[in-house]
Amino acid sequence: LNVIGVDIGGTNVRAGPVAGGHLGDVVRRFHDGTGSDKVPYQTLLDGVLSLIGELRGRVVCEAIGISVSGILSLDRSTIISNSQTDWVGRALAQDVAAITGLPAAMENDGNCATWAEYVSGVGRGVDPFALMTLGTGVGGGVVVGGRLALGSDGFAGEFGHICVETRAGLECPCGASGCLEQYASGRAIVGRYSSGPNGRFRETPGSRPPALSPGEGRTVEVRLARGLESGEPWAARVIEDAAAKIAIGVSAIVRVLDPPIIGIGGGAADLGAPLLTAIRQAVENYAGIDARRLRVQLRLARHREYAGIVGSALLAAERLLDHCPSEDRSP
Amino acid sequence: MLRRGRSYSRAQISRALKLTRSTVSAIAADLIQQGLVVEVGTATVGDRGGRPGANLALNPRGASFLGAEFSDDHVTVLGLALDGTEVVRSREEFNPGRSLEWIIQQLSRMVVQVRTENEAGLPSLRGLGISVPGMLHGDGRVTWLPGLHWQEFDIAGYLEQELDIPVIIENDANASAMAELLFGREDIPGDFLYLLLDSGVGSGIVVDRSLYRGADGSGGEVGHIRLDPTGPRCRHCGGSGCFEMMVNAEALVRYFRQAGGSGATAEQVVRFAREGNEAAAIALDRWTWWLSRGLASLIYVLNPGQVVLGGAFAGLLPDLSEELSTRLKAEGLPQTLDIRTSSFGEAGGAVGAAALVYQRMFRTPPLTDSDVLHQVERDISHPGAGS
Repeated sequence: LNVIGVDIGGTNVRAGPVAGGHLGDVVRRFHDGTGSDKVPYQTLLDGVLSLIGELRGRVVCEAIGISVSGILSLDRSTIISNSQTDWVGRALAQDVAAITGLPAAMENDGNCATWAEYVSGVGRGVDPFALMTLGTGVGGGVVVGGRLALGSDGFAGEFGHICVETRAGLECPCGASGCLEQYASGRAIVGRYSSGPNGRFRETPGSRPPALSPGEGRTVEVRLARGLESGEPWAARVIEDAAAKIAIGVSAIVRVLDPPIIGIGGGAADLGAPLLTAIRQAVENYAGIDARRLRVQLRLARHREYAGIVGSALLAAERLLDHCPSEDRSP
Repeated sequence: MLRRGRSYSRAQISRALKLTRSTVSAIAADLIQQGLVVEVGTATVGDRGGRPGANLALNPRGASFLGAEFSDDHVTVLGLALDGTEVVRSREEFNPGRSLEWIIQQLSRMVVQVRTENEAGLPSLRGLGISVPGMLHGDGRVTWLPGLHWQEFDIAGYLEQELDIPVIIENDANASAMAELLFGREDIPGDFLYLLLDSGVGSGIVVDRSLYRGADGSGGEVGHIRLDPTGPRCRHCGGSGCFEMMVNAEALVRYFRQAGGSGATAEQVVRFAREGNEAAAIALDRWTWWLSRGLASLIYVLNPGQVVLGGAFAGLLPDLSEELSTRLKAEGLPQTLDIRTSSFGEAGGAVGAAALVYQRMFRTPPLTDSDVLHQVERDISHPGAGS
């Protein structure tokens, strides 16, 4: 039983077949060659369909799951808010289903990654469970009672907008300032590191991390990872500061949800042990005498790059095919 | 299903609960014999030509429940009838500084007095619920009240021995949330967050019509999420600038002083602000700002269907829910965000504690689990809406 998972990212779309919790070969397609900011909806749809067509030439598929960033309507049919303005108001899953003839389900990327971890990652058997993703933005998801918790408006697990800086906080496109996303997204961390100890980033309220070209982001990440390894003070400082903000977000999740384990995923999780250690340290620093109330365990997510593909496929199986996730969870 | 004074025919009940007529009749007979349910009026006619019979309704006099709440300066004890109406309330005030044991003895004495004076008003008493301004730990019987410098004390065990009735103990915010769920506005959603704003700050989170406690029982203790690392140190959690330190009664007075005002209580600052005092208005604005920042963080975790504001501040600031709603929507939260003010005033904890005794009764066989009943109630109220 194959379900195709489709992960729509900022620069590309990737897709792969998932069967029995295992991911097959992944295919990828860039939105366009120019790295332009604006991707027309039709371009996106064509890209998604061509990848699905390619995969169906190889394996028999029963359903399609789609992972996309931004806010979805509560019935998960329509994109309500996305930095790609042309995608807003579009019923992507429905369009894909109509053309492919396969049932398709769409879910927010943080929720997909959370479900992937819950079914076959660090959240396996953990309930309640939360995953915080540190990617282009900061997101995440929540599982309560064996179900993905969407909340009353689909905002549950939007950890990127937890308030972590109340004095001269950086402005966030959401309308508030001091949102976690502005300090702890992979983009913000890499941007700050890249601007150097004397950079102006963070010193000016309202400033945004510098935009990175697709290739450059990766290079800086590698430099940051190497810097952490070799004990470079600026690299350590950048991670420490981000960890301090993440710890505030963790404290909010713990106080509301009280999960035994919180997973840390997204691109920044590739920084690995140094990041995790810094977050743990920051959580401990904040906990004070009340540490017994903050004994949450923090773990790096197991599904990284392909969390969106695996999670969306597992969710599609669950929602469209009445597929019991426990089958995948059995050892 | 028969809550809130509703009455239904046996046929309506059997359809809604998907039970056979004979099962419903047997259960009804049992409940009538227990005195919990009575037949009222004549049947709603037109039920597919079924044999007419009287409608069933809860018997307000079928059972009663006591609830109590206390702080370091007062104790309130009240009694509820089976239909949720308050039949008696007693409140005593005293000077702060008493020991927890003294207050609980006081409470125990008041319960005895309330029972003696209202024997007729409290038929078939099912138990006493206690709303506690602090954390419960262990098996939920032992209390830890660091804010009031009280240590561990088995309140429930002590009172059960003294009073010889079942005693349930619950944190005040959780108890208040139960009051909203079981006896509050009818349109309350199954998922909501109750935020208690008083000298302390706490919350009760309801998910799928049940109190949400998290993995080890500390879910919903939102008073200690971190807001301002440069803020004052909290004597409860040990951290700086937690939600509670930024928005409790003390915080409002602090902002008032920072804005140039001098020595006042939170109540006075609110009154000064209304009278046009500039420092008080600045203080109140700052307080509301912190409240909206903290509340936003909570909403981004579980996105409850409604936020209910309770505690002393909810009573002092009738416009608070609207003000917060406006601020939060401007800060990116959903336009459908629904913030309300509690309908129980400061007795919410006591009503909720009694509600817990009520709920425990209905969770006991042979009645169906109350969660199922609530679903059924929705189906009946909105025919055709559910499956």
